[in-house]
Amino acid sequence: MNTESILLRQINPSFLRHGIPTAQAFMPTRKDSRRLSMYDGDQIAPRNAWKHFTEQLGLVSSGVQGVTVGECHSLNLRVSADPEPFPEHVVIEFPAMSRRQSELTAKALVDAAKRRGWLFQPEFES
Amino acid sequence: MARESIDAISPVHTLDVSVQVRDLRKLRNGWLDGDGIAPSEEGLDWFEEKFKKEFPDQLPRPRLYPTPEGGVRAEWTIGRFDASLDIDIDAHSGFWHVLQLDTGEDDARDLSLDVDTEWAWLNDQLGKLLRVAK
Repeated sequence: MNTESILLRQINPSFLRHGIPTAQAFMPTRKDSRRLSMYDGDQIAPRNAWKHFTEQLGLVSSGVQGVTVGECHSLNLRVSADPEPFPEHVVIEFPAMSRRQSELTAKALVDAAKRRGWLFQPEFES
Repeated sequence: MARESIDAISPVHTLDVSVQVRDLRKLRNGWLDGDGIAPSEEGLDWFEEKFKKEFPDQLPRPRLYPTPEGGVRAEWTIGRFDASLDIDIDAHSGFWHVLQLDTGEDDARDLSLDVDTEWAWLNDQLGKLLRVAK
């Protein structure tokens, strides 16, 4: 990975409204221990990441959006390889922060992802 | 695991709050990768009634999403402002946050949503964002 590497995030269908993802899609939940699960876009294409997530892990995703490692670094977020669940798995590590700071960080991430646009959406696959 | 999802339930996209709340009522526990608490019926009843009473028609409707903890999150995109109200529908409290995406300036406040003046404050904030974004 380098600063240009794109980290792929699966978007839960309930985190979409009007086709727009909530900032929660880029916010770790309480069970995540401040680690947001991503796929390393250098190792796996968005379509294949979606297939792995839905078919092998059996989870639901409306598609794939992404942020770069550099965008994470600009928000003081570390990115680490975490190949234990599967080889392409990486995590964005959120330091301990206030609720306000957590909101700001997630909104900056989702804004970067929305500007980049969908990297894969199954409904548009031919 | 629950497979319902709000975007799949409403094929005709709408920001009508009743329609969005109706979709939230269809969620079941486990909606988020096996986690995710479904919003309570009582909480959604309170939210829908309160929103209709306190939120004026002239303000833009929010997008409504479930939260993993069983709450409701309202989001507005107004120009380059990204605003949200994270609502605990059982405790009747909310956390307001707004970020100006270009400057990084933000603001936040806890709200007691049983108090009418807190809704008035929220509506005033949204009105200000609309005026600045024009």
